[in-house]
Parts: sequence; C-alpha cells; structure tokens
Amino acid sequence: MPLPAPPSPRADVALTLVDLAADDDEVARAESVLSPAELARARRGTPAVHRRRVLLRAALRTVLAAELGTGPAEVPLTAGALGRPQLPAGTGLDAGCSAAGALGLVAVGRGCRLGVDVEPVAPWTAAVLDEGWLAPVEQQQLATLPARDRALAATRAWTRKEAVLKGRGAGVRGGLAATVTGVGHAPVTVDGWSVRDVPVPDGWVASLATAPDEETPR
Amino acid sequence: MTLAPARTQLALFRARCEEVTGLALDAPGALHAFSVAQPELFWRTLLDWTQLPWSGSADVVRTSGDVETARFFPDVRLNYAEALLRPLPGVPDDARAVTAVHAGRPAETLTRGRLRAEVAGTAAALAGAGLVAGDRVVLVAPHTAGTIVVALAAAALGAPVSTAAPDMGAAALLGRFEQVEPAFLVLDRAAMGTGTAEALVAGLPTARRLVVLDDLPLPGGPLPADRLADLVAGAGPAPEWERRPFDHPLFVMFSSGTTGPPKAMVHGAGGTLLEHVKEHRLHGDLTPADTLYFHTTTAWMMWNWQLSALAVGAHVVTYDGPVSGPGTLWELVAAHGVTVFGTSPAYLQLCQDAGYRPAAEVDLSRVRAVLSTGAVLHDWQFDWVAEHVGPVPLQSISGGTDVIGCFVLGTPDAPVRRGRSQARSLGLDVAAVDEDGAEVVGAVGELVCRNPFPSRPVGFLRDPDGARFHASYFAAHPGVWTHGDLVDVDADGSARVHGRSDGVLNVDGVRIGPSEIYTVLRGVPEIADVMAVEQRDPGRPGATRIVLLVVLREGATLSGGLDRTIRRRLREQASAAHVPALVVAVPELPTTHNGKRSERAARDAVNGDPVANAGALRSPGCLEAVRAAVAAATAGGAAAAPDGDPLLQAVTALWTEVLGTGAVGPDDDFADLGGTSRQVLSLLRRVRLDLGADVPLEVFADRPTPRGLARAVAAGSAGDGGVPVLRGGAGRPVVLVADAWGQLNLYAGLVRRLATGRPVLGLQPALTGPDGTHSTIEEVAQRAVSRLRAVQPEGPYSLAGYSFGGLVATAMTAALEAEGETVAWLGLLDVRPPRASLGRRELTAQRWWARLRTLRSGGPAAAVRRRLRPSAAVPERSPAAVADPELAFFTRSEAVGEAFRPAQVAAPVTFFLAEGSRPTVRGTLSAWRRVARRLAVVVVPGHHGDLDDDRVGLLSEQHVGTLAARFSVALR
Repeated sequence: MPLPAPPSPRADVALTLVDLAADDDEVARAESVLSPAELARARRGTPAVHRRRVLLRAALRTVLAAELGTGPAEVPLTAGALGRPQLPAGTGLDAGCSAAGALGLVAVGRGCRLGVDVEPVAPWTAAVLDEGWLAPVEQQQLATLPARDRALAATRAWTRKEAVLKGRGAGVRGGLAATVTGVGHAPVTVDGWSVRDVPVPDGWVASLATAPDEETPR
Repeated sequence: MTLAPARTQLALFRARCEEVTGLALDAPGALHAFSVAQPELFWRTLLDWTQLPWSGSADVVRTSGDVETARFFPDVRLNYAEALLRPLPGVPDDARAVTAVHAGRPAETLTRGRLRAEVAGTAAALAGAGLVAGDRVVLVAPHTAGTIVVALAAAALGAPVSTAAPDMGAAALLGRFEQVEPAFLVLDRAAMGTGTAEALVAGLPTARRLVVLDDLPLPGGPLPADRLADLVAGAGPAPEWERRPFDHPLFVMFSSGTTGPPKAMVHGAGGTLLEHVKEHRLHGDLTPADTLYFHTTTAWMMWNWQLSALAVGAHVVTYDGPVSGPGTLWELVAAHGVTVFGTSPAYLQLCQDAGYRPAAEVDLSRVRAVLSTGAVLHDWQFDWVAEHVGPVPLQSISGGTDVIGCFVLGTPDAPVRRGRSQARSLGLDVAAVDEDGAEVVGAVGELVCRNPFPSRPVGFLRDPDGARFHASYFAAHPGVWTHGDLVDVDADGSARVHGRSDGVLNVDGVRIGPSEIYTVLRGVPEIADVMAVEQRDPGRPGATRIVLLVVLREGATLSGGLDRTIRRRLREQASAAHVPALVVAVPELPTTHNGKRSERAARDAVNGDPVANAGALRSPGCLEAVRAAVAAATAGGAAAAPDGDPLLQAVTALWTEVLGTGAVGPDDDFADLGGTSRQVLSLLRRVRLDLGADVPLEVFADRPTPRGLARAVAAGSAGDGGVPVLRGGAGRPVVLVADAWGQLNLYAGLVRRLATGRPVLGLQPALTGPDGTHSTIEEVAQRAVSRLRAVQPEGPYSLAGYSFGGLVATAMTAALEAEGETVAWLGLLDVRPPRASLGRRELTAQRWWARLRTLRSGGPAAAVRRRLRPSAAVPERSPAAVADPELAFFTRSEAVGEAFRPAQVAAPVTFFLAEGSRPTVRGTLSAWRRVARRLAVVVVPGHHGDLDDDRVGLLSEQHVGTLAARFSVALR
C-alpha cells in the first residue's frame, strides 16, 4: 500500500514509499495489474522476492497511472535490457524503483531522467573497503569519520552511486568506484547527475539522481 | 571489567557437598562420581544450595531409580517465572536483565524490575483474555525481549509454551503445532512468510484466541484476535503467580523423529529450572556480573536454555537480525559487553574460512568463555579460537532438546582439552556403551544416561500409553536413556560427541527429521520413495550436507525441472535448511530384512564409508548403486565446471553464506534468491579471498548463477600456466603439487587446517606432452618449476606432494637445486618409492598388487574402481589391457612414476608415513634415505587413502587434522 509521499526533493519528481509487508490480499490485488512478463519475472523469485517484486511493480504502475490518467494495468511500462523501467518517449516520464527489506521506493519524474536506490544501513566492517566499489578518496573520507558514522556514510555512498548508475541504465556494472559521489549527505553533482538524499525511515538510506532529459549524460 | 569471584560457584558447591557427606570431593571426577553414586543427596543439596524459591517438601527427592518413570521432588511446588524474575540478593532491580539487539535499529534494554513489571502486565492481559493454567500457548516470534516477556507471562500463569521462529514454513510449523492443540496463538507476523499466519489459524482449530505482537492489520475471521499492546492497556490487576507441582508442564519442545511427525515433548518447570541453574552456575560459573549471548532462534532449545540464565541474575542479550558476515556476532559481543558467548561450529568455521580475526577486529576483552554447540567442534577450531579470539576456554557443550540441557559440557575446574567437552553433566550418569550395552572408555559408543535425571521430559503429547516415549529412548538398551548420539568418554571424564547415531540429519547445527522432508515430497507424482541422508561436505571440511536419494516412478526421469520442484517445495513448505545439496536418483533404497529402511547404511554408502550393517540388509547390492549414483552426480558437477567438481560446491557454499540461505541450486539467479547488489560485492570479495579468482562484476552480472560464477572462477584462476592460490597469506608460499589425476582438491582439508600464515599455492603441471603422451616425472617437474618461478622467482622454496605429486615435488627439488636454488623443505605425503629406485631386496619387499593403488586419489577413483572390478577378483592388469581413458590415464601416470629414478636432494625432507602403509613400505624406506640424507619420518594415522579398499586415508576428513598439525610443525 503506497504510503504518503515524503517531501519531494524536486518538484518534478514524485517519490512514493511502498510498504512491502502488505498482506496476501494486497499481493493478490497487486498481481492483477502486472503484465505477464512482470508476473513471470516475479514468480522466478523466492516467496519473499516474489512478494517484493509484485508490490513494487504494482506501486510503480499505480503512480504512473495517476500521472497518465489511465488504469495501472494499462500503463505502457516495459523493461530495458538490464531491467530498467522504460516508458514511451511521448509520455515525457521516467521512472525508477528500489527495495530494501520491507521498504520500497518508487520515483516518477517528468522531463528528466532519474535513478533511485534504497538500502538498509549495513553494519560497518573493514571488509567493505576491500570490496572494490569505493574510490580511494571515498575510502579516505570514511577513515576520517568516527567509527559509529561509517555504516551510514558507506551505505549512503552506495545508494548514491547506484542511483546514478541506475539512472544511466547501466546498473552496478557501470563502474561503482569510478562514480565518485563522496560519503557526505549534502547534495552533489556527479557527471551531470544531481544526487541528493531521499528522506526514509531510520535504518534506511535512499538517494535520488536526476539529470535533464535533453542532454542525458551517458 | 568483570571480576571473577575468588572461588568458583562449583568450588563453593563442592565444599557444601563435602560438608554434607563428610567426603573429600576435590580429586578430579570425585564430585561427578558422588553425584551419580548418591543422587538423592546430590539433587537435594543442589536444590537447597541454589536457593530457588519453592514450597512444600523436598523430602522425597525421586520416586524410583528407573530412568523412564522416576519423578523428582513430587512434593515441591514452584513457579518458573517467579524463579527467574525474583529479586536476587546483591542484584538491584535496575540491573540489566535483557538487552534486545536488532539489525538496523537501536537495541533496547529491560532492567530486572522493568522485565518483572512487563511480565506481570502481560500475564494480567493474557489471563484477562482467558488464558488459564494448563492451556497451551503457541508462540511464533523472533528472538527478542518481547518474546521473552510473553513466554514468562504464560509460564507465570502455568500455561505451557511452545515456541518457533517466524521464518519457518507453514507446513513445518503445523507439523509441530497441530500436536500441541494450543488454546492461544501468539504470533509476530512481521517476519512470517505470506499466508503462514492464516495457515496456522486454519490448521490449529483448538485455538480460542489469537494475539498478535506486530502492527499489521488484525485479520478478520471467526477467531477473536487482539494486539497484545491493546490487551495489556486494558488489563485488570495482575493475577497471583501460583506455585505448581515440580512436573507442571513448562515447555512443549520438538525433536525430529526419523519416522512420523516430530516428537512433541513436554518439559516440566522444576526439571528444566534445576538443570539449567545447575549448568549455568556449576558448569558455566555464570553470575549476575555476566552478560550471556547465545546465538539461537526461538525454535531451538538453546533459546530456553539461555532464558533460564535470568534465574542466576545474569544479563541476557537477544538478537533478531541476520548474520550478514563473520563479523556480525563478534561485533554484537563487543558492543554489548558479552562475557559468555555461545555459538556454533558452523559460525566459527565461517569466521575461520573468511580469514576473519575477531580479536583484531573488535574489543573482546570482556569475553571470558566461548560456548559452542549444535554440531561436532573440530580440533582446529580450538586452535583458531585460541589464536584469534583469545585465551578463553572454548567449551563444546552437547545435549539435546529431549533433555532440554547438556550431557557433556564445560567446567571451571578443568582445563580444556582440544577437541573435547571438559566434563559430564553433574548428576547424570553419562557413558558410551557398545552394542551390548557395556561401557566403553576411550572409544566411540552410543551415548546413554544410566540414571534418572530431573530434566527428562514429563512425556510426549499424543502418546497416552507412553509407547512412543519408550520407543524413542529405551528400546535400544533397556533401563537406560539412549540418546541417539555417538560419544567417546575418556578416563578423565572429558568427552567428544561424534554426531547422530540414527537417521536424524544435523546440517550446520540445524537438526532435521528426514520425515519432515518425506512429508513435503509425498505429493510429488514422479517420486515413488525418498531417503535423506547426511554426507560429509567435500567442499567444506567439517561441515555436512543433505543428499536426497530418490526412487522414481516408472517412466519418470530426474530432470532439471523435477530437481527444481523438489528444492522449491522443500524451501517453501519446510525451510531452507531442508533443501538438499544433492538430489540423486537410485533404483532402490536399503532396507533391513524385516523391511525397515536403513538410513544408516545409505549414509555410509553416500560417504564412501564401509557399511557397518550390510549383513542386515535385504539387498546389500543396492548400496553399490547408491554409491555409484552419488559419485556420478558429483562428477556431473565436475563436467559442468571444467576445472573440477569442488569448485561449483565451493562457489555454492559462498553463495549460501552471503545470502544466508541453504537453498541454492546451480542455476538459481542471484536476484531471484533475494540477493542485492551489495551482496554481490561481498560474494565477489569472498571469491577473491577463498578461491583466488578475481571475477569482475560485469562478468558475474552476465551469468549470475553459481554455475556461471564457477565458470568465471575457473577461467579466472587456474588457466593454463596459472598457479592457483589455495589459501591466502603472507611470506614465502607453501607449494602443493597435484596428484596423478592432476587434481588439487584432495588437499582442500589439509589447506584449511594448516596452522601457518604463509600462502598456499597449488601446482597443476600438465602430465602429458603436446602429443598427448605421458611425460616423464622430470619433464613434468620442469614444467612445474617454470610455472612456480613465474610466481616465486627465487627460493628458498617449500614443496610438498601426496603420492605421485610427491614424486614430482622430489624431482622439482632436484631441478631447483641443480639451478642453484635452495629448497627449504620438501614434504612427502605417503609417497612410496618408485620401483626403478628400489634395490633387489627392496623390490622383493614390495608387492605389486598393493602398489597398483598407490597413485590413486580423489573422486574419480571410485568410478575407476567400478570399471576395474567387474567381479570381486582383483586382477593384475597391464595398462595395455585397459580401454577406459580415465583409467588408462591413471595407469600411465603410474607407469611414469614407477620409472622415475629420483636424484639426490640436499633439502630436509619430512616423510609423512601413513600408519596403514607401514607394512607395504617396510624395507623400502632405505630407498628414500638414499635420495634424502636429511629424512625425518613422521607417522600419521590413516591409510594411503585410495577409495579402492574402503580404508580411510591420511588426507580424509577423519585423519587430516593430525596430518595438518604435524605438517604445520614441520613447516616451522
């Protein structure tokens, strides 16, 4: 069930939090608006993944339907090669979604390209530095932070990178370490993408990346 | 900092017993001897000494000496919740009682006073909702403070509680709880799977009331449903916590049966309390100064066990989050000042395998003991804890749900012997017995308890005449409790449990009744019969996995689709832990002459062990088919992953660790299993550390399945000319040379156990030349040397090899020395001297048939064996007579080995002689002494290790620990 939207960081992007702990009836209702391809993809997952995919996709369709003045099942939503949501150019809309645990996040923008990512704040361990996705400068920034702040900062760096890469349509293959977003919480611009925090409940971090539609950086 | 009391509680209790008996009880074992020789005096003294609150009379300690029927303290009345929550002398009400730790949100702490008040409020709420003494409560909730409050509130009212974890499937939950016939359902639906709560409500029609702990919408339907918070808010005055008989039901627990549904056993309040307080205070020396964290779920008896630590006044920590890596629990321990940390061999092994060093990563200065249970704790894990956790006792404790406590455990008055539990539980006459029931000391036998003990179950549910109870524990050896574990007890009272003696599966500490698997698979139309057995996991030393043997109906085949159906059903209807690692079709399952299925025979066959009870089987021939099918299935994995079968297993093991699920098929998609992008990075890091292969994210993303990853690893690490890193480290590498099959996997167990910080490399030189013919040992060695020099340009070198690999290592040593290099050490693992190097007398001392096997090792040998022995006879075959390409390859390797005349080497050589090879090498070691002037012979347990003769090799799971220890010493 979509929750009330948090204050949107940009006027032209609508952000919706999705409660992924909905009951079975909700899941069944959500399934009824999905395309056969979306249903098939959802069913490939474990029960928890299935549930998440169904609820998230249905929420995305619901938001888009309101924007387009049509029914959720009728929204002309398709998936790109790497799973990125795609809409016909004529709609002027772009969409993104992300989920972490019981929290889903759906973003719909008009006249821009966008990417979103939400993650639970993962416990900090030194192993994170060894995973190869943080740029050296980001590793240094993390090292200067008090230990208690690193979990949040590292997770935020992740969501920022992933938001940009998802916006580009490349996903995490697009070069995580090369996308240097820093570990701070102030809005930044990375390769033409504006990146900022999305307010989410404690325990999660979310980021939104947007770029003007006419000159989408690739 | 916790200050230990000057004297342990055990010492104080011993002094009390000495006072009471007038005996000196300070000799090792004297207190245990007294406790079983004078049980009435022991248990009465214990009850008084603990100062637990009770009323009535303790004059009658036990009603008889019969284990099956004796009752303890029939005239004592007590209340479990009162005993846990009463004000304790010296423990203020604002002392911490429970700290609930969560993933991703702050922990909350309840003081003793607060916990008591919450339990009182909840008891009032439940009583107000109609819960009365004797009503059973099913409580499905995570390991949190709230769950403890509900359980204690029910206990306060005299309502027995049966707990389970919310992530269990509906079928598994119903299989347990329908026997309970609960009056109340208390559920935390937040973590439950879709439809599980509804299935429980529908399947448990005796329930009068549903109470939910979560904030999800209340369900409709006829069953009255309330939020606990609402009930508490509207509750009346707290009812009195009445003291009830010693045997009044407290918990209903489940133990997996090999046949039928799980056994629903009822544990009494008094027995549970007295046993737990005894274990905590006397064996664990737990005090109010301690903080205990035992990693468990509410579905395991360790939850009940740790709960009782409140009776001691200790501070208990709970955790309901995932174990996302080796650091998770150590970080929790450090953050919350845990002094006694309980975990499992599986977690300790995970940490060790990941190269995680707890003491270096987090502050463990408050930890004074580490406890481990759930599976066999291996020798090397004691070393690892000593090195990487600190100089604290590692106490391997073992008992069972059936006794809601331990048979063997720690003690503060004896040192820890590596690999062993320190002591038998006081008051319990625990022994190992042979098949005739005679006690064996210093040898493995069936674990029995020969005297009555208070924590014996009061009885089973749905077992009105006690027949099932009797059959479960008293059928094998009349008059004693037979637990179903194998144990050895030494003369010093220390013990080691060796796993289950029956068909119950124990995988990573989770006990699984095969019948739970059979129930789920009953509805699969293609399956006629099925048997689940436990196999030593070739990819993870010390761990085991489930192999599912399936008899298919006529016309059915074990396709990928059927395999997936089986796995999916088990995952959904039981749990991830029920999903087998391997599904194998077999023509027939082993049964005894009277038609009883023999899981034990199947398990032996699946492990390649000698089948102990083959004579008792109706058709022993089916075992060979089982063995062959398992070998073929394992080899099938090898065909898919070109660089060797263990790779896919190793990759799958990492995958399951990262995802925290056991249900991973070779073609499962990472995202479909719920894996996130961040977890991909953790996975690839583990692949880099453990498997030495750098798999780029892009390559992984193209085929995000275990099979795809295994291929990427194969391509990334052991390409032509590569030198696989078998284990990371610093300093000069230790180099292991592949065997006659060109395989390195046989060294896996050794590599993991080596106590060295140096890296371990594997050399797999081609055994054949460009024209496909076999090269000489010298040529193979030359190739190996040039590969080695690419990664280690100059010496000193440390080389070792088993059998054929040892011959190559010897030739490499000679070649390196000829080039002016130093070889610091050469290790020969049971390498028999080649015929060409033997003098005439030595030749006579050798027997050709024995040496036919000398080069064989690793998995393919089983397949060769089948081809080699169409009949029982062992013919002496010339290589030319053999058409099979695998065997031909092997025999040519052998011929090459036999023709080798090793040159003299200057390096110090350690020859690890397998005990079983002694007769074969007698009179031929002189040949090695000619090669190596500085030869040290170290005898290690085991045989040469070919699977051919069913004898256990020096590199086998059973013996490799000793070999690794001696190998490590020789390396220094």
